[in-house]
Amino acid sequence: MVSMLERVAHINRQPRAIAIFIFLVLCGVMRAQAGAFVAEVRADLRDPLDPFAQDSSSISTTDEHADDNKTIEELLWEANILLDDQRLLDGRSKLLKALQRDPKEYRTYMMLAGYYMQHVGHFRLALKYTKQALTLFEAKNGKPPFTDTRLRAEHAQLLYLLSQARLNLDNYQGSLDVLDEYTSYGYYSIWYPGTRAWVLMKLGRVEEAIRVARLGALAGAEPGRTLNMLGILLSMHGERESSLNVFQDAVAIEMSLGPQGQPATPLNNSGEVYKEIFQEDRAEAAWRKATSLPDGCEHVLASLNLSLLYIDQLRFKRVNEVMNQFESCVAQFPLRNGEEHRALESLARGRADLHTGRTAAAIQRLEKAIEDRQWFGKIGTSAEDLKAGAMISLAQALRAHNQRLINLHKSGFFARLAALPQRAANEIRAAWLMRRTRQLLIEELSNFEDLYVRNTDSMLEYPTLGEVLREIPARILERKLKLETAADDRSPAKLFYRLYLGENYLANGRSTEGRRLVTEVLDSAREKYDNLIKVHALELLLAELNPADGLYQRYAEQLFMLNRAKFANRGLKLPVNFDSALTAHRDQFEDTPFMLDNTNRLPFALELRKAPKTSAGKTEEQWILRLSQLNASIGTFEGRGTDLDEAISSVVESVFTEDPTA
Amino acid sequence: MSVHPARPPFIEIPNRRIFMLVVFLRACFMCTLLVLINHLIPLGTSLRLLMPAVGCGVIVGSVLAFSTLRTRGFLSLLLAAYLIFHLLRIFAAWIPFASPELVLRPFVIFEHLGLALFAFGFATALSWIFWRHRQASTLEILCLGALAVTLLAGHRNYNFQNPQLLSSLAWDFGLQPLTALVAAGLIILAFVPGYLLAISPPGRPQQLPVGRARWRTLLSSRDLRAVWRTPADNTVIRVGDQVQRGRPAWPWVIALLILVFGGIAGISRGVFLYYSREALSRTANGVGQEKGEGLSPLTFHSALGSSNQPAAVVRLEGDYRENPYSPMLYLREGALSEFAGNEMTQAAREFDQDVSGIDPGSNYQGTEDATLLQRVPVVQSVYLLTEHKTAFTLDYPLSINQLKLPEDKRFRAGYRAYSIAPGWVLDSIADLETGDPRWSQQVREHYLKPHPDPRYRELAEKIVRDAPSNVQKSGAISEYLSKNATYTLTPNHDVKDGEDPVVPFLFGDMRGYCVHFAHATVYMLRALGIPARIGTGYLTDLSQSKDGHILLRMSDRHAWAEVYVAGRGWLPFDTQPEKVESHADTQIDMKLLEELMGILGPGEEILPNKTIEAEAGIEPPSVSYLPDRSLIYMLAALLLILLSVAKLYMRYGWALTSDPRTRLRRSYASIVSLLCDLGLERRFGETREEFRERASRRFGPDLLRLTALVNALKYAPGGVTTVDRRAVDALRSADRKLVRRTAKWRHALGWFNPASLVLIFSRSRW
Repeated sequence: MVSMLERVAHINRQPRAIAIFIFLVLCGVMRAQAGAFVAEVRADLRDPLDPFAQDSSSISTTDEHADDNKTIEELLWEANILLDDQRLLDGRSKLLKALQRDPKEYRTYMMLAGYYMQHVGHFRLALKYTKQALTLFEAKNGKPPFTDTRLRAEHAQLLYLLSQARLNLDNYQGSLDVLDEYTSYGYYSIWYPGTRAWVLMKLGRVEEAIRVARLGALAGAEPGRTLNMLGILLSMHGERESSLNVFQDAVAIEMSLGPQGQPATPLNNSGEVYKEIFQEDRAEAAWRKATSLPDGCEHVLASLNLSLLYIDQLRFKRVNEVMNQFESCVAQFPLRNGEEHRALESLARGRADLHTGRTAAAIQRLEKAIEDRQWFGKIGTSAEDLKAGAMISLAQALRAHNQRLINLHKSGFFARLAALPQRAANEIRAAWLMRRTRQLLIEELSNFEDLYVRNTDSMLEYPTLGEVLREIPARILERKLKLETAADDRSPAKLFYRLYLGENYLANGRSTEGRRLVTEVLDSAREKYDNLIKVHALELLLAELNPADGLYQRYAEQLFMLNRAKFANRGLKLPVNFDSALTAHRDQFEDTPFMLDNTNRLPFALELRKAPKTSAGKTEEQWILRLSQLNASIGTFEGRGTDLDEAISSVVESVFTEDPTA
Repeated sequence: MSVHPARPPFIEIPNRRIFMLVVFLRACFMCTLLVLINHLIPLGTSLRLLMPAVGCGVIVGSVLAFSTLRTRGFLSLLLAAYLIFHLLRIFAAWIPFASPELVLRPFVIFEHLGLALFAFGFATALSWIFWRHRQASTLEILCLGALAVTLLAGHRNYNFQNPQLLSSLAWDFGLQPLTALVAAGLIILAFVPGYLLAISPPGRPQQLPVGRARWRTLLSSRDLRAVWRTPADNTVIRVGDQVQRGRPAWPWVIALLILVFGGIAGISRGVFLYYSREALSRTANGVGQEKGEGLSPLTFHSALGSSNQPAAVVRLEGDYRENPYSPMLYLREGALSEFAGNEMTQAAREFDQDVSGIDPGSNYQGTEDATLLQRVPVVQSVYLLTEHKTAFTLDYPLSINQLKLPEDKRFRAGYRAYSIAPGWVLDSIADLETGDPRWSQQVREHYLKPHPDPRYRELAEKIVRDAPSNVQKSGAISEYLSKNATYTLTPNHDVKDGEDPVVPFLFGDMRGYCVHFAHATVYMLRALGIPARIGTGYLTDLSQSKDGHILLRMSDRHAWAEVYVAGRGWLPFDTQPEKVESHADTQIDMKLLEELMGILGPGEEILPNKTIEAEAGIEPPSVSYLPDRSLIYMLAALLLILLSVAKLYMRYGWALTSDPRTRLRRSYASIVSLLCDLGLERRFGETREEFRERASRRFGPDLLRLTALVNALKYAPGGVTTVDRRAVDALRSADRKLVRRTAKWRHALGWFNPASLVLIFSRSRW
C-alpha cells in the first residue's frame, strides 16, 4: 500500500516544506543582518502576485563574474528563489558557488541536501550534505540543546533532513533514532507524526505506529497524509474496514484541497485494500478513479494495480488500454526519464504478452523489467518484490516459449535439432530463475511473507505462484500453508492455498490428492474474478489426464474458451474432429497442440480445403486449414500455406495466440 | 608365491610437492572461475560456502584419481553422496519446525547445500578426469577459454567499458578500457598454451628432484620441456645428468618474460592507437575526429557499429529551458563547409569562425556577434573521458576555460564553455532569410558551392516545389529524407575511389547513416542557393540526464546539416529517419553516470567521504545468502564428525571383524595411520621394509615387525592360509607402546590431521 502515499507525503509535500522552511531560515538570517523588521515580514509572507517582489528573472545565472562580489547570503537567497521557481540547475549552480566561496557555511550544505532530496532523488548525496551541515553547525554553534529560536529551528530542520535521508536509504532504526533526538529537544512540526508512524511501520512496530498516527490525526497534523498513513497501518493490522473508512476521509480531505490535493494516493491505497479483501469491483472502481485524476495518471502504481487486476481476470484488452493511457499521460513530461515506472510497466505488459501467447515479446519485456532501474523511493514495493515477480514470470515465459518452439514451428528432425540448444538454455535458465526466486522470497522477503495471498506491495502473480512452490518438499509446504491459513481469515484466499498444495502434490507424485484439491479449486473458483486461477487449475488437470478421456475433453473446451494460448504455452492437446481429407496427414499434427480424434463427437472440428491462389500471374494450389467450433461462440480460425506444414503452422499460430487488443 | 600388482597401473603421483602444487593451482583456478561465474550469473549461495566446496572437490578428486578406485567406483561414490544428501533432505523435511521463521529453514539450507554439493561433485569429477584422462586437460582448457570469452564478451558491439570490472581497473591505472581489454585477451591467449604445456601429460613432472634442486634443474635446462617430458625409455632425468650440462636458461627465461609482456603492452597500445586513429569514426556512427583544412572526420564506408563507450560527461551549469530542440541537445565540435569534389571537408580558418576549433586543453575567447538575436547564455562544464582533438560545446561558444580535473585518472580534460545558445521557437524562423548580408562574395560563394551533379538540383526542386521560403525549403528536404530514407550503419555501397559516395544513397537504395543524410541535405540545399554546411559533434537526449549531467557516448556522435538563417546564425536542419534498420537506441548507464556525478561533485576537501562512513545502508550489502552463522558451525561440526568416524574406523576397524587375516591387515593399517597422524608417512617409492626401518629409527625398534606377513597377505593372499592370533596381538601391543611413547598433545593434534584419511582410499600406501 505503500504506494503513492509517500509521493504525496515525502516527495512532493515535504520537500516543499523544506524549501519554505529553508527560505524562512534564510529570511531570518537576513533579518538579523539588515535589521529591517518590515522587510522581513514582507519576505516571510511572499505574495506570488506582488509586483514588487523579487523573482528569478532578475537574477543573473550566466554571467560568470556576476556573482564574484556577492555575499554568501546573497547567493543563498538567489538560489532559494531560483529553486522556488523550478530553475533547478541555476539554483544548484548558485549553491555550488556559495560552497566554493565558503566551504564552512553549513546553510549551503543544508540547502544542497534539500535540493538532492527533493529534486534529484540522490539520497546518498543528500545524506552526505546533511551530515556535513550538522558537523559544521555544531562546530559553529556548539552542541544542542539551544535556546536561541533561530538555532533551534535550524537544528530541527537538520535533524529532519537527516531522518528523511536515512529513511530513504532504508536505515529505519537510524531514522527513528534521529526522530527520538528531535523530540528530546522539544521540537515539533506537522510532518512529525506521519514520518514517525511510517518509520515505526517499517520497523514492524505497527501498533505503536497506529497510536502515533491516530494522535497525529487528532492533533490535525497534515490531515490528508496522516490519515492516509493511518489507513495503511490499519490495513496492515488487519482492520481493513476501519482502514477503508480512514481512506475515505483522506480522499475527501485531499479533494477539498482542489488542485493542491492528491486524492489519487488514498484512492490507490483503498483499491489495494479492496483487492486484498477480494472486492475486486470496488478495487477496480478505486483505481479507475485514481488513474483518471491528474495526480494519479502520471504515476504508475494505480495503472499497474489495475493492469494486474485485469490480468487476473484475463481482460487483456483492458490491460493494454490502461498502460497506453498511462504512457500517454507520462508523455506530457518529456524530461522524466522513466526510471520510476519503466520496469513496472514492462512487468505488466510482459505478463499480458505471456498469457496471450506472445512469449518472445514477453521474454523481452520481462528481461527489461528485471534489468531496468526502478526508482522506488519510499514506496512500499521494493526492488526485491519486483525482481521476484518478474523472475517468476520470466521463468514461466521461457518454459512457455520452449513449448511453442515445439508446437508452433515446422516439425522435422533438423528443425527440432536446431531448436534444441535454445530449448536447453531456456529450460536451465527457467529452473535457475525459479531457484533464485525461492531464495529471494524466503531469505530477502521475510520468510516468504508474500505467500499471504494478495499481500500488499507484492508483485507476485498469485494464481500461478504454485509453480515456484513445486520444489519445496510437500511436508514443509503443508506446514507453511497451515500457518498461513490459520492466520488468514479471508475465505477466497483458501482457494489459492489449496491450489498451491494441489500443485505441489501433483509435482511430487501424489496425483490423487493433488487432483482432488485442484478439482475443488476449479469448482469453487468465482466467475470472472478468478479466471486466471481457473485457467491454471485447468492446465494442471489437463496435464494429468489422458487426452482420450471425456473429462479431458470437457476441461479442454473450458480452457479453450478462457485462454486458448495456454494450449501452446503448456504443450497441451486440444482434441478436434477432422475431416477425411486429413486422414492421410495425421502424423503431421503430432507436434502440434491439436489432437485429431474422430472417435468422439467433439466441440471442435478441423477441416482442410485446397484453393487455387494467383500471385504474380502464376496460379498455385493453396492449403487452407480451418478450425471451427460447433456452437460457434468464438468464430473460426484459418491458416493458409503453400503446403500442409505451412498451413498447420499458420492455423496453430492463429488459434493459440490471442490478440490483446481484441 | 606369485606377486601381482594389486592396483591398475595408473599414473603414479610423481612427486608429492609438484602434485600438491598442481592441485593447489587448480583449486585456486577453479575458485577464480567460480567468482567469475558468480559475477556473470549471481549464484545466490555464498561463495564462502561454494569456494571451500570446490577446493575440497579438487583435492578429493585428485587424491581419488591416484587411488585404486576404478571409474565405476568413483561414480558410485558420487551417486552415494547424492543419495545421502537426498535422504538427509527428506529427513530434514520431517523436522517439525512450527514457528513461521523456521518452517522454511531446512528447505533453504538444503538448497544451498545442494549447490555446494553440486560444485563439490563437479570439481571432484573434473579433477578425476583431469588426472586419469590425458585428453581432459585439453577439454578443460577449452572450457576455461570459453568462459573467458563469455566473461569478456560484454565488450562486443564496441562497448569497451564492458566488462565493468575490467574497465574500472583500467581507469584506476590510468589506462583506456580498450587497452586493458586487449591486454586481458592477450594474457589469456598466452596463458592457455602455457597452462596446457604445464598440465598436459607429456609435461607432467616425472620424479624430479625435490627442493631447490628441482628449481635448479628447471632454470638450468636449455630445453625446459625436456625436464617435464618423460623420456621414451622411462629413465628418470636426474640432476647432474645431461640436463645440467647445458648453459643456464634463466637469462633466457627473463628475456622471454620481458618479450612477452612487452609484446602484450605493444600490441595493446597498437590496437588502441589503431582504434583511436583509424577506426574511431567507424565505431562512432562514421563521425571521427580528423581536424585540419581540407580534411574530413566523416567516413562513408560502412560504420562498424555504435559504440557505447563513454566519451564525456557534460554538466549544464544552468537551466536551458529555451532549447528549441528539446529534449535533444546538439553539441558542436566542428563544421565542414568546403566542398572538395566528393565530400565536404574543413575549410580554411577564415570560414566557420563560430566554431572554436581548439583542442580541449586550450582556452578560447570568441567574439560575440551582436546581430544574432534570441539567443540565451548557457554555461556547460565538459569532462572528457576519451581523447578528443577538438573541444565541443553548445552552439556557439564565447569562451572556453580549463577546469581543474577531479582526482580521478579517467578524466582526460575538462573545460567550462560559455555559449550563446538558440533560444527561439522553431516556427518563428520560418519566414526568415538565409545567409548573412554582411558576407563577402567570396564567403557567399564558399557556402553555396554546389555539387556538379545536376541530379541533386533536380531532386531538390522536386521536393521543395511548394515551399515558399528558404527555411521551409530546408525543412522540406530534411523531412523528405526522414520519410523516405532508411537509417543503417551498414549501407554496403560499392563506391570506388573518386566516385561520389552519396549517389548510391540518394539516388540508389536510400540506405545510409548520418554522414550520408548530412551530405545529401547540404548538396541539395546548396543546389537551391541556400548556404549550408555540415556540423559534427554530439547529439544527446536530455531526458536521459540526471541533475543536469549528461553522459555522452561514442554512439552519440553525429553529423548534421546546417543552414545559416539571417539574424539567428547556423541552425541544424537534421533528419530523423522514420525507418531505422540498425543503431539500437540504448539506455544510458545510470550507475556509471551517478558514479561520475559523485566524482565531479565538490572535492574531497569540501565534502569528505568519511562523513557517511559509519552510516548504515550506504554501501550495498554484501551478497550473502547464508541464513546465519549456525550453518557454518553446523558444517564444521559435520566435517568433524565425519573426520572422527573415519579416524575411528582407521584406528579401531580391526575390532569389527573376526577374520584373523583382515584383523591383521587392519591392525597394520591402524598403526600406519597413527604414524601418519604423527607425521611419519610412507614415501612414494618406499617399500614397506624401508618404511619399517625408518619408523623404527624414530619410534623405537620393531614397531612394524610383521611387515613381511602383511606384504605376503597383500601380494599373495592365496599363499597365506593362516594367521597366528599372536601376530595380531603383537601388533596391538606395538600400537599401545607407540601411544604410550608419544606425547598426548601430539595425539590430540594428530586427530585433526586429515593425512591418514588418504589411507582409506589408497591401500598401496599402508
